[in-house]
Amino acid sequence: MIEPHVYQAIAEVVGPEFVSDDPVVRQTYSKDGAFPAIIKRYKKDPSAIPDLVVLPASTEEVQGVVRLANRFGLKVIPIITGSNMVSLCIPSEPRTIALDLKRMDKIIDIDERNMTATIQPYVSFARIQAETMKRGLWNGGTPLAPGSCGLLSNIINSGTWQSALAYGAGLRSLVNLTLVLPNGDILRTGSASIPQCGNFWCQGPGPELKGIFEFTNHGGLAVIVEATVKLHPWAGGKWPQEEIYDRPPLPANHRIYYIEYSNIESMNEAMYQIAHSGIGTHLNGASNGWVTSMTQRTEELAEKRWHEGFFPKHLIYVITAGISSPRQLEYEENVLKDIVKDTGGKFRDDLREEMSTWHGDAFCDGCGSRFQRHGSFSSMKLGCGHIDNHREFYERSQEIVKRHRHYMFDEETPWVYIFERGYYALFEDDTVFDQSDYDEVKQARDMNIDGFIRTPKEDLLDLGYYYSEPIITIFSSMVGPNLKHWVAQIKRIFDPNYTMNPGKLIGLEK
Amino acid sequence: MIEAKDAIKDGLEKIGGSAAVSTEPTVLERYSRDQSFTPPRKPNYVVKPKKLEELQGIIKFANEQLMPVIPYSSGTNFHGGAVPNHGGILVDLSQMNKISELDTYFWWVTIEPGVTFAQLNEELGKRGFRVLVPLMAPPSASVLATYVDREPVPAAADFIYGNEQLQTMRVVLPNGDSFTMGNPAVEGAPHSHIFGPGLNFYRLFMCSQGTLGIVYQINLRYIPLPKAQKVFFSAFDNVSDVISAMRKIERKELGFECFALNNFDLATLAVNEAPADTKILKRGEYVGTTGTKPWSQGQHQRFEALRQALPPWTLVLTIAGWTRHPEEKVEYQELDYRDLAAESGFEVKPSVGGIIGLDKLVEEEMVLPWRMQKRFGYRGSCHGLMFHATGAALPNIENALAEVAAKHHYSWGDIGAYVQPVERARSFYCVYDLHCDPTNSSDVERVKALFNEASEALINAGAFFDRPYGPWADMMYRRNATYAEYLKKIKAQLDPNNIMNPGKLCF
Amino acid sequence: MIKELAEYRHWCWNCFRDSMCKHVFTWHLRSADYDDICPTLTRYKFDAYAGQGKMGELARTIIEGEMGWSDKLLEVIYQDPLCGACDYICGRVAEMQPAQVIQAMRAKAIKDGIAPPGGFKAFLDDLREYLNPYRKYDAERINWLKGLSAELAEGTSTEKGAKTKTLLYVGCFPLREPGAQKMAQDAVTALIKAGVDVGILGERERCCGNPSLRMGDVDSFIAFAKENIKMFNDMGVKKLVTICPFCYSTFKRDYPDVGDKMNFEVVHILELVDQLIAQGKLRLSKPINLSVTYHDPCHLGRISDAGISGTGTFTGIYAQPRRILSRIPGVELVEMDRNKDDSWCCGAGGWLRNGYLELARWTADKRIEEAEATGAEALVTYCPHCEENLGEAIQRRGNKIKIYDLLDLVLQGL
Repeated sequence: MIEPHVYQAIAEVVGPEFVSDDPVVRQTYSKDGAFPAIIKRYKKDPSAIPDLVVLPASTEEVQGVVRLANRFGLKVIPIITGSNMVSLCIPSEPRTIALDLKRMDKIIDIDERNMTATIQPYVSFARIQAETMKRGLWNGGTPLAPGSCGLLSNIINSGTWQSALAYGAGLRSLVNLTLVLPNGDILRTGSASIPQCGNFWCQGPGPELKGIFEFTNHGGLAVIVEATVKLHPWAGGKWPQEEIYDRPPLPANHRIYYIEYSNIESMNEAMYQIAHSGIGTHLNGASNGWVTSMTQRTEELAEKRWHEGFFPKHLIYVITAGISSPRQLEYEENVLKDIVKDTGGKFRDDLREEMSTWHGDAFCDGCGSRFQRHGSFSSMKLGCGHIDNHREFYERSQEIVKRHRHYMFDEETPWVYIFERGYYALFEDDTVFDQSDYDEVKQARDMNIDGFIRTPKEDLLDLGYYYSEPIITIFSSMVGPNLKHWVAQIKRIFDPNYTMNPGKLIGLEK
Repeated sequence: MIEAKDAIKDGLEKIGGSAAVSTEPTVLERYSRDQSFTPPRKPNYVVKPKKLEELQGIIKFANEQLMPVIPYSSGTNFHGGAVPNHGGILVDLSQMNKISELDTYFWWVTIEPGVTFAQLNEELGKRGFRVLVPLMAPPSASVLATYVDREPVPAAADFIYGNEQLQTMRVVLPNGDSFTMGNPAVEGAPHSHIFGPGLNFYRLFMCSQGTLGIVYQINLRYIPLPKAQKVFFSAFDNVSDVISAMRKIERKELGFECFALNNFDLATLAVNEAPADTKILKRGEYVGTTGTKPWSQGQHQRFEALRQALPPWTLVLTIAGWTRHPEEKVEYQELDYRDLAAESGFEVKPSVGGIIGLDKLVEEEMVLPWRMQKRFGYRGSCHGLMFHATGAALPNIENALAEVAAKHHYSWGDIGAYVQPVERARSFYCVYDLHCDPTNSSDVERVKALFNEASEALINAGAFFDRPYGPWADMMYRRNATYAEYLKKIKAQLDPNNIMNPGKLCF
Repeated sequence: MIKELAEYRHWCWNCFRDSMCKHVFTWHLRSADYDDICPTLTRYKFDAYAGQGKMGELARTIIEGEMGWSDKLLEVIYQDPLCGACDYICGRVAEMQPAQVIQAMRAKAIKDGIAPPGGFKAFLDDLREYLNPYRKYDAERINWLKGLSAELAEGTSTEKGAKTKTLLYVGCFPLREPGAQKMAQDAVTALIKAGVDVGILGERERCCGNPSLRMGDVDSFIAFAKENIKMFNDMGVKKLVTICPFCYSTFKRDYPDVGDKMNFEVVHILELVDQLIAQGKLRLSKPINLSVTYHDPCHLGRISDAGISGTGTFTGIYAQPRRILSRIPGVELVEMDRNKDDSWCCGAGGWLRNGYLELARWTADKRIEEAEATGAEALVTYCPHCEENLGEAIQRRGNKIKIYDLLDLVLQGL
């Protein structure tokens, strides 16, 4: 319950129409994609509902709100779409403000010469691609998260992009951040920190504070109010193109290849060689379950294809772009053909028609949420390593599946994202489950816990959440004594009053 | 005479053995300075640990004794980073020089601070690989220190290969604890990326000049030696045209290494040095703590003749093929480059200034550079203004520099310049060198004043000194109070006794 | 049968909060300026006003008994043009249709004896009394015929309505005010000039039931639907041609849910006119030199089919009006960024003007701004509600852009 004078003070900052403590409004901020919120629903536990929803429109309004929160002992959770799978947007304490940044949705500037875009936090992948592609640029941001998701929130929550082969992990995309700290201070990183220099360079001066905020800080240290992101040359011409339903054309000057392998090892070898050859913008091992779901117009069709085993178990897709000229496409195709021949792969040109949603989804996700036709999804297991860890990852996942009644969406093959010219890979196995079936929720949750957590389950349940990345609390005992200590120190420096999203950074700040 | 008992020396010797500790005046003198304008200051002790446990022991001990600790890798910083501000224990890491975990399948290697480019690229070269090297880094430079220091390599234009090459970083914190960043923070996890655990701590240690801890190990990516390669040269009259061409090249993602040198720097690169100097240069020992011996008259004459023959600016682009169809790659990229050049109105040639074998020289320099050390011999010492700038800002930055140089009666023709695109020309990394005779105090004072005034003027014109050595620290942090404030807070937590290289940055 | 709210339980629990319902479908987004697709969310910003909030959270709480009716809840679910944008996008991605759920929430409110909020209470009361949304009597349904010329009036017959297999269903909109009658007159004129026998029901015509359904009065809607289906079946109607898109979508999408067999095909007049032009029965030879932009009425597109727009044989009536425009000499079409399935609602959907006029006007203003941004001289559409709301916005704001009914332009071009 927020006291009337506090409510009034906040209303004076953002305007009375942009703050609400109405139960109807608050209820709609009580959920994200993660299990804790779902379980709380079944237990009729109202603690997932924030006490106040506030919508600031500017950096100054954000400053005003966080200062008030600090003063009056409120907690603040910055929210974009709130669709994360790791319980970031649900309060862990009473007197929490859901700071919905929806009104901060501008693309402030696109600097075509320096290939950067400066954006506010609610700018989505779809928006940035729409505006930059018409200028011969794009952000490269291609998570299989919906294109309506916020670019910045995806990046700082360690979003994984299909184009990671060429453009790296999502956070490589950040140039500068402008943050409102919990005490209301503005902090700018990189060259933006020097007014004369502008937003073009991401490192320094000296030690980089950007590192504190760019990766899995989970809104626990500050509110990002502006960021400059990198852009890359876009060879694809007009975007969007006229779509025949579910059959969007492939962008110009791009080629897409689907290659089938008979086993994990030959698939790995192929991915390794393709990555290290320097060709392509996208290279990923496509999860059978996801491909079936995303490419089929209806759940009924998807089920049918799944049971038919229509899509190959071990399938990789490669996208190349003729950035310098069509000669590049020819060269890269020759290289790819060689590698496929050497590694015993088989081009599946016959799948192009069936998989043509990829012509859209590989550049700006549209159909990625089709898993929702069954229910919800959660990452059961995520792992990072080198390409050869694929087999180990797969086998561990299979062991987990055997221990549980629930099934794994990716039971044939996990997603394999190839990063940064093959220097590393990320593997992902997911479950889908029907949130309206409590038994299924519990099964999927148990499987998820099993997949991620090596600590006793009881610890996890006490914490009330879990993550899909190796996170501090879960892994701290494995990485040594320093981690939790230093994260706590960082937290104390930037957020001494524990205003920002408590319980999410290290879980035990209290 | 009975020597007074030195408890600190005793303590240090207990950690690493007596051979590892020195208080010899000549030794202390050697470590008290480099060729920069940084005022010399002797450390009290020089210690050379050989392994992690010794390094940890030294730092813990220093904390107990409240003695400053100054990390020193190879002494090729040239900007005063390893010159003690307050005396203390100088930790020479050159003995921690192991190369381990050399994985020729996944293309990574683990190294300690004492590993030099010469050492590493020799080891990798045997296997057909190389690590990327900045053009200005001498062969004796510490690979670890150079990468942690963020000095860009000529291939930094490439988004993946050129920048962000670290995969794991291990640091000894000021309390002596070891802290691992990257996937291997979890015991047994493979090297993959350097993110985490939790926050991206590694970025705090980048370019921290040892003020927050000592990086004692990194896992680093490397790449194959090219199987086919061509080097192209293009002449330009001014830096604006260079920038414009670089932008177009990077917009097409053509080539691999891309950089430009003005005629001063290119002449330096290509001029024949005195025969006696060649070996010294290749060992990376050309520049001492007070600079180097100036060139002979003959070398000056050769240099001058070469400089006159060269265009004001030369853009260098290498096109390389590695694993598959290397010749085909070089061929199509050359065609694309020539098309671009023709559309843009510049020429692409196999050399400039009539220099024979310039392409081969550049190819060598991309694997193990040594020639740019010669620039120190122009007058005896060299003081580089190293910054990032946008292409739009750079002409104004040059004008600002020219104005200040003229004011100090410093000839524009005596300024060496290096410009390269970074990350597809989102930024340009620039080094503008000022030269002075370190034995001539009035010359030193003049160039020092020029250096300082020019630095301020350049920042005001948009130059971003992301590696704030010496006077740049105050200039940058003075303009950025909030950033400095939070760095200090982090420093206060990590190093409450302020023992780690005190006086550097904003600490 | 029309579903009860509880039957949507699976959808309500499984909303993933991907926020696709709030924005233009990502593959179709042309500019950041025109990314918003949900009028209520764009206006009020709180997630409660989006499909995600209503279906994904509020409906769930009602189903599970966690939340009771309140003024705010009623305001949130009734202040909504039910434009179907969320249906289209969420339907295409997750096979869920939030607007259907919102409709079911309204139905539950009515069933629970809760009156709709604001002006909708009086609107519903009037609906129940007058059996049409305009507080007019059935006898007035033929007033628009008086505006037709004698020649054309002769070609139109209420008796023909009793005999024809193709019935032109006019709808209630001409009752609204005299100015609204021209659209019906133009529709009939176009058909007659093309030599099509036009039968109409005249005073016997009944409301399609759309406003009752939108208010949540499902029982009244079912009554309307059953009566109309029986009447058309008994008359032997094989083809029902509609003018008003509300009627069109109601007959096409909502009537089959009632369960009674429909022995007739539902067609929109633009489909017919498109064919007539192609067959040469309507010759467009008079040039009209005009740059236009076309507003796609929601009810001709994404909310006019039971399935997900584009997945089956139905793809929305998008191509026909564009073909028609392309055949008018001198007319140049400049598309708005949000068109076809991604059209921004005019604001009149869900009879919003009767309940929340401010939102209806705000929504229209946004559309006019978008239309003007194309640089077109005129905005063309084909829906009496869109034309009313958008036309009023132009007048209120003093914009230069003109608004035309599509068949009005066709007639000018004959």
